[in-house]
Amino acid sequence: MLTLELALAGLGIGSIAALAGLGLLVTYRLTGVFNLAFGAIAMAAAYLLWQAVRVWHWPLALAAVVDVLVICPIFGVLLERFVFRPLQRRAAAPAEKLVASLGVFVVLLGGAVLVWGAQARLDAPSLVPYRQLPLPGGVQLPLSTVVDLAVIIVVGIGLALGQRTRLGLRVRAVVEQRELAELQGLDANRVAALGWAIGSMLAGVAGVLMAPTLRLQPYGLTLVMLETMAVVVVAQLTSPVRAIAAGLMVGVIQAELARVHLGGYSGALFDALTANLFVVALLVALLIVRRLNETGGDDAGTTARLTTRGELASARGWWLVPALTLAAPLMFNAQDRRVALAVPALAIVLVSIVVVSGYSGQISLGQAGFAGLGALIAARLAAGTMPGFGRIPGVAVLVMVPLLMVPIGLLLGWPAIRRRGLFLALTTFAFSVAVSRFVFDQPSVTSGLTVHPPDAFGSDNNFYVLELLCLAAAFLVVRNLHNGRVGRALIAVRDDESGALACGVDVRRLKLLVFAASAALAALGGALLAMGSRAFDTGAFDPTRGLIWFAAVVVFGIDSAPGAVIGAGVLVALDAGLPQGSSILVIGLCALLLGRMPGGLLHSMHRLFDHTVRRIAPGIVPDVRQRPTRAVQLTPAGRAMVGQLRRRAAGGQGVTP
Amino acid sequence: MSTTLQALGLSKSYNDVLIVDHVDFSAEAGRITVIVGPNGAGKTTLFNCLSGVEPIDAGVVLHRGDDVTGWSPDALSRRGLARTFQRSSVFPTLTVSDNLRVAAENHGRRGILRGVVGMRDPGRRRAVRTVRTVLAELGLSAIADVRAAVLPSGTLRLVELGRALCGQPDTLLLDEPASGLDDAETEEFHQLLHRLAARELAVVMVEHDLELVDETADVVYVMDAGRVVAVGPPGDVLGRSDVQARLFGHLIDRPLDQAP
Repeated sequence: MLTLELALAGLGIGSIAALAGLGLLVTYRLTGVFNLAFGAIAMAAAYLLWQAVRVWHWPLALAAVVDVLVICPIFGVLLERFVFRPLQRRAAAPAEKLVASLGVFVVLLGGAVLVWGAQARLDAPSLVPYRQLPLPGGVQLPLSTVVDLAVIIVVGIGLALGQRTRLGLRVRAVVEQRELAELQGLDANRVAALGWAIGSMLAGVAGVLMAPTLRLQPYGLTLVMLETMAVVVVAQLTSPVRAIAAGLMVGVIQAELARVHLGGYSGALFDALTANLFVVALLVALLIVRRLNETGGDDAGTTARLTTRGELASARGWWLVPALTLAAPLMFNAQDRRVALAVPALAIVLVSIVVVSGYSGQISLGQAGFAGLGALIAARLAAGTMPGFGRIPGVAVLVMVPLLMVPIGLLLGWPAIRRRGLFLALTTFAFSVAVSRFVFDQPSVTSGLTVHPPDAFGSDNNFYVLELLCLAAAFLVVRNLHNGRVGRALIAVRDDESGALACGVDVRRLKLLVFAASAALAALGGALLAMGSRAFDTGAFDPTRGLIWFAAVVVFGIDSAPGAVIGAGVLVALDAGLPQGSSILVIGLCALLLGRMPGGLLHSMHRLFDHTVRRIAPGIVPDVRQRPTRAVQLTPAGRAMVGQLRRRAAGGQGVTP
Repeated sequence: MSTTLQALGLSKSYNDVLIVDHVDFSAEAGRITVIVGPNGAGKTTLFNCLSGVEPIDAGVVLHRGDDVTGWSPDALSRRGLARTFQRSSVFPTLTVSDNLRVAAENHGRRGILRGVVGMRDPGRRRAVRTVRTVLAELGLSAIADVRAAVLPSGTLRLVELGRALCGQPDTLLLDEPASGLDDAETEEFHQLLHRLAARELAVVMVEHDLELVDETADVVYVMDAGRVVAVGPPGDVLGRSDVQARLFGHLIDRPLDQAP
């Protein structure tokens, strides 16, 4: 039975989700970037307003105008100029833009915590006076909801009309086919800057309107981001009407369901589902929706462009760097070694991302879910509380965990068969969110769990060696996945899926395989992480962790397993040496610079080093750019081609055709 | 002479527009079959339907007499139906020989798990030998270890053809294989096609250059608006006035040297 009162309350929540969703949708349509930082920009705008009104005592109206109409657009223009333009310039993959927007998100979040603290502020200035509008039937509607709805309608109409104008057409041209648009004489940079200005202005509007209703708190807006995603996916990234309808409907349903109370275990499950109805909506939408209307060309799906494309052969002795990173802690003092326990474990988790995203080109933002499940299963197996299993002793747990994870990896691999690019990224992320909300956050599942290293490896030193053995085993699997027949086939899938199919590669089976392998590796890493810290901390496997891990892997070179090890070392070292959260900030800043370092941080350093050495001392180091070619008898066609290649090389052209 | 690939009553539509309209088609071993027709005639869509890339709405596809309607493209490829694409689908990060090797290794599908645990692929030697033979045949041996990303587009065409050959197919579907080749390369390419046909391969291709079609084709299919409007030896078909009207009627508005 529906009640009007609850429906109106739900409308309040729903209108916020719809407003944020609409803003994200418009940003996507204007810029072609799925802006993960949308919520963070909204948050920053809300904090700025608070700062101006509560601390500097500006008049509210002036502060709001300066904040939303001046600062936010300028921030958007700066983002375009310094973060996204370099990416656009070299036609970066959506994964890279996603990671760059993740960098913006992380930097803003870290900055806000640094400046304003992590605690919630209850005195967010409200643009709309608190008033209840009486409706017939004795119920009341808050004025803020009315304003939210009005803004939604205005933005919706603006979007619908804007698409038909000359400017709207230009924006679409730039987003869809930037190069062609430029050839037509459009100043793509200006159009893109305009898109970013409008997008972040909308984020500002959403943030300023939302802050009084939600609490003004840095992390609170991650939540809004999730709810917003559901709305945007239902709209298939296109339809503003569907976005608005979805936001309002889920809000109302959630409010209505909150009244229903069931007892027992199913009651707890029901409550969890209700409380996370937007997550449920996101999952259902991702499974039902057949495709998202993504912008950009055919190549939008893969992460192939993130990789170094084998441009430089790896230098001899390169593997010494990660090896030393891993060996060093054996000589540390006890306290430092305890900290270093996280390095091999994290390395395994990061390598699991290298396998799925670097080698086979499938974006996976859900590794935190796998890692957390691995930790959970390990804890329960060791305690003997895993349903269907007895108490599993010692090291056997570490063998069981990856094996048990394989079916779950296959489960996520299944939707991945048909999904690519952003769609796949969102699906994997939603998986991790669902696992977090419906498994980790359930007290009946995780409360009272203890984790500790297997008995025989109780001392830190022994456990570290055990971790190294696990890492070695993981590297064996990884090597087999990158070399030989399977490795070639995976690269084929990454580089060109239809080409791989035409070669007879069983793409479906390979994708399932790689997701299963990646899930197993992540679970092993997660189990070791939890054992090393001797606690099952659900915060350590939060979905945003998965995002940060993915960003870290991209920064350290997405198809580089040694890079993942170094990355793990750097992350742990930064967190140990500097204030909490600084590693995230560093990764965020590096992610912002991705446009200027294709192939990741290490690859760029390698290239710089290579370049410098050959400048200073030509002839001393072998030119790694050229692979030796065999001396063969050439046919006329072959000779012609070699000649062509030589001419190209002599012409001083770059490596890309 | 035997029919390797056959389609009966093949239809495909997008949004209620028939792109391929009840097409009957067959490819004979040892023959070069060429499909011609104006842009938008449905040639590439027909290829996509034959090779399993797109599901078909109606009709039957037979390969060596077996019904393979609805088979996936990789399964068809392993059966011996190889194809190339209008836009290059070469794997840019792999070297030329590795590009070919992917195809040479994957006509036996078993052994994925074997690879994960690090066991050697039993077909390894044969694959290496196949790749070497094909590279030599296409004159690509000298650039075997060059990454495909740096190659010019004409060479990529050859790499893609080589890749198709490495699957040891009985039928080759080539979508505009000669585009991007210069005159000398085109000439050599067509000689190569004849050599392949002489080996009892069924070669099917989409081609725009009618002069070359006339020289090389054994059978010509003329398509327009989704239908096959004429079939037969090039000498008979290409001279017909209705065919010429269909082919040139569309091209005549533009200067011929700009025609695709």
